[in-house]
Amino acid sequence: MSIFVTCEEANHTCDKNQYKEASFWELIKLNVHLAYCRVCREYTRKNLRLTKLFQKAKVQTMPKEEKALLKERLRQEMAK
Amino acid sequence: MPNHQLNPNDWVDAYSDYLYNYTIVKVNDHEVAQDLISETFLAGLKSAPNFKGEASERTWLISILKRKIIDHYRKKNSKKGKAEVHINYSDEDAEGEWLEERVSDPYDRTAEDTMENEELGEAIMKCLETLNDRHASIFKMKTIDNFDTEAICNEYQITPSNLWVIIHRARTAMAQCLENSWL
Repeated sequence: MSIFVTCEEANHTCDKNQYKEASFWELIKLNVHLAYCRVCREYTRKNLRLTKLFQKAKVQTMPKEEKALLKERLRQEMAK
Repeated sequence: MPNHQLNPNDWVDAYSDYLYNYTIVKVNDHEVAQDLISETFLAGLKSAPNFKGEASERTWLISILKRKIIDHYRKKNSKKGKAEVHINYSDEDAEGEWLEERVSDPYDRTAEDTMENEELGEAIMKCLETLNDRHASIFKMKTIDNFDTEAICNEYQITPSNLWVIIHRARTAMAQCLENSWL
């Protein structure tokens, strides 16, 4: 098993890591890659920042059931 | 000037998350936010004939929602009776009642932080709208609602590698969209 990965693989690991789904071995390979790849370092930096922004903004979504109810209500109203 | 049109059929899918975020930070109560949004959509439907198409659909809905939020606070305040101002000393040993002491606290950044986060939240929601609908729902489910990869794959009938391609595209697009002001 090689310790060197392609940019594509490195970015994939970086994406997974934003959701804590990258394995230890994958993270080692990512870091080896980042040591020599400037483009992926840039991607990783932005990706991390994006994750932090989401945490900071505490964005929420409307629950699915509520959306369904709301849709139904609008549909009924429009049928009138 | 582009002439905007209303498509009430798509309102819930297109704007409910945006409106929900907008409202929840202002009223801080899930039920209330839910009611206000539902009222907003119904009011929008009622006054749809008056829509001139000058503003975008979202701007128009937000303007209705803003009024609903203000009305909500008016109602809440009228029930309470007169507004009262309480000043409590945080330090019990301190004597005196100098209002000046309470005027500004240079170390209290919470108000500004809250405002900044509110703006950030709105910026994020706006950028999410630029993604394709399906990708946006999948990305939100993963990033905001923290669903398992497996659950999302089941719901959308996709493989994990499909999911990660979508996530990657969405993250790249989001980073680009937020880049100038926030990243």
